[in-house]
Amino acid sequence: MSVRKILITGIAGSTGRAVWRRLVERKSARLWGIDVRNWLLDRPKNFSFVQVDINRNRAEDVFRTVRPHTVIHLAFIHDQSVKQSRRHNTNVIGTQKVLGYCAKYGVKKVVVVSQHQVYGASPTNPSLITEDMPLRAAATRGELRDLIEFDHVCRSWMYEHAQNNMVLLRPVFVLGPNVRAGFLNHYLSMKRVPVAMGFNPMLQILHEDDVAEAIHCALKPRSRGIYNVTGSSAIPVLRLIKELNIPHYSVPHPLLYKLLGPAFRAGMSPLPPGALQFLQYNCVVDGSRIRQELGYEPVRTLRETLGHVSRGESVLVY
Amino acid sequence: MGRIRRALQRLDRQLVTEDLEDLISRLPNELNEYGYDDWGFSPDTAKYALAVSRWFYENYFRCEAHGTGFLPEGRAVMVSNHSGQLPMDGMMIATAALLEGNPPRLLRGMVERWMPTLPWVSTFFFRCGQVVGNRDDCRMLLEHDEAIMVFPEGVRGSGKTIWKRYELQQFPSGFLRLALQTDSPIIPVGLVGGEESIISVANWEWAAKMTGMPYCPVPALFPVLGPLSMMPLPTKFIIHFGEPMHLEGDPDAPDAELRPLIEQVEEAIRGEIQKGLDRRRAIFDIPALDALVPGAWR
Repeated sequence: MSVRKILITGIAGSTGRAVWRRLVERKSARLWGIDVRNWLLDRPKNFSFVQVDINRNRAEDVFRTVRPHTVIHLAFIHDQSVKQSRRHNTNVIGTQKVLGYCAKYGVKKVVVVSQHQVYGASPTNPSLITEDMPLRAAATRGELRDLIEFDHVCRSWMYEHAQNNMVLLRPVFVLGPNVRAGFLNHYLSMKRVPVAMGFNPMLQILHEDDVAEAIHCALKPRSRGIYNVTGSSAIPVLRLIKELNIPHYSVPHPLLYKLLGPAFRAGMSPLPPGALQFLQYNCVVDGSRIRQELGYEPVRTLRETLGHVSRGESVLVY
Repeated sequence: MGRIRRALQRLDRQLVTEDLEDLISRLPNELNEYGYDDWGFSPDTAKYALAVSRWFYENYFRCEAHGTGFLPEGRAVMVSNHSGQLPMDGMMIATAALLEGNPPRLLRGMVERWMPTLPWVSTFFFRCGQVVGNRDDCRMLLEHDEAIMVFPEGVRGSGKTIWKRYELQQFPSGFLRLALQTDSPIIPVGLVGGEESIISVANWEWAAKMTGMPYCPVPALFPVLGPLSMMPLPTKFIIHFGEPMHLEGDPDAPDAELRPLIEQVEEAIRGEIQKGLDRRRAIFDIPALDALVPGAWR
């Protein structure tokens, strides 16, 4: 059996490292990683690392020389406090470039990771959102423009390049010992968290190891399509806060938007105003398709996931 | 503070009795390790709502439920007539399925779309297992082998005046398409007693339009009771669950082709209503109140 060449972009991020841990033991895989950040873990024989920005021409050199069979594209800036233009540059332009290389160098399998936030939290949401539902987040979440555009870019590329077997994953909120960016992580790392008075929507959370597990399942040959990725179950936001022992205060929801919007723009709050809808309305996605078609099953329980929330402390578990 | 807490605990024990706890624990719904399902249903909250609605069920409307043996174990679409201005009929049918179903069934009601925007109310409804009325939702619930409760007449049914009581309004095709799509049995339900619980003699559409409500009933007892006339009267409720109907057809056929099937369901519900009317001895079944009912309405 020939060795499968797998290239992971953005490998130094939390998901990248989790995937790396999952794949590096496999004898049948030869891994390459690229990231703009440095790689601090050990480098076993079957793994090479190149420190490069995916927007640089040097990134294409990696594709040229390696000719990967599989590309797992994880180079994505989740931190919403980073300037919109920089996020757009990496998340949209960078992705378009990487997908261009994938087509040019005949990659047989591409895995990209979006988020369930693209569906948006809204009062008209169905109770369980499937992969075919429209992406409503664009209506309310200006800060998520780059993510929604990323999702669109990947989706149209998937239909144009059927032979490249793209799998687009939409995991729910990812938590874990290494995860620090993303709306829910910023929210849970506040000293006292605001909640919308009288509302207690269900949140779905996922352990970083389960994202790696889902990506691993997506590597199955000839699988192709969009898949929501959910953990074992959902939990109301107040219960989540209580389980993590975080003090909270209730604010009537119109006031919440009025106060936290300007505070975010002034850099005093880590919560983008559009994301606050997730504290008011349900956005529960249906994760049955990936279980049935790719055989994914979460490896962590809800309780374990809660036990592993980093709350923003920079405990970098390498 | 200690006294208040003790009083609350006592109230808690009185409200949520052991048999109620036992009943809730026998529900077949899948819960996670924190006691919630994906739709937000939580027995810990729902038991209080059930305690209150059980009081209405047993003491206020003194419901009689017949044919609860027809409640199936898997997916089902419960289709009922709608009446009585306020959704007391839905509450009582759901309570009947919980108290008298074997095993107890949680019926998922379909609530208005603006409901999720209301603080507290939205949380309460979700914890009680209600969902937003949405075709995709119903389909998914049925595919998860849940039982849903629909009132195809909608506001045309609940906003009826007393002159049209127990006249079934024409059903639209949505519920049937759902049942055909998901291959679920339809359970016809007939509820008697709801029509007389709030006696409305007219529907002031102009007032409804002004306030944004779906309809504005004019209660017959308004001159006597004032605003209290919008409280449901303690009429006797008789609920009949009918035999499950396994219909076959193309879920995407035009309305005209589905019409005979819809009429079949309407006919079954009329039958269940008639059974209730035949069984009913008096509207209130409380002699003092029944004496006040005009002879023509008895």
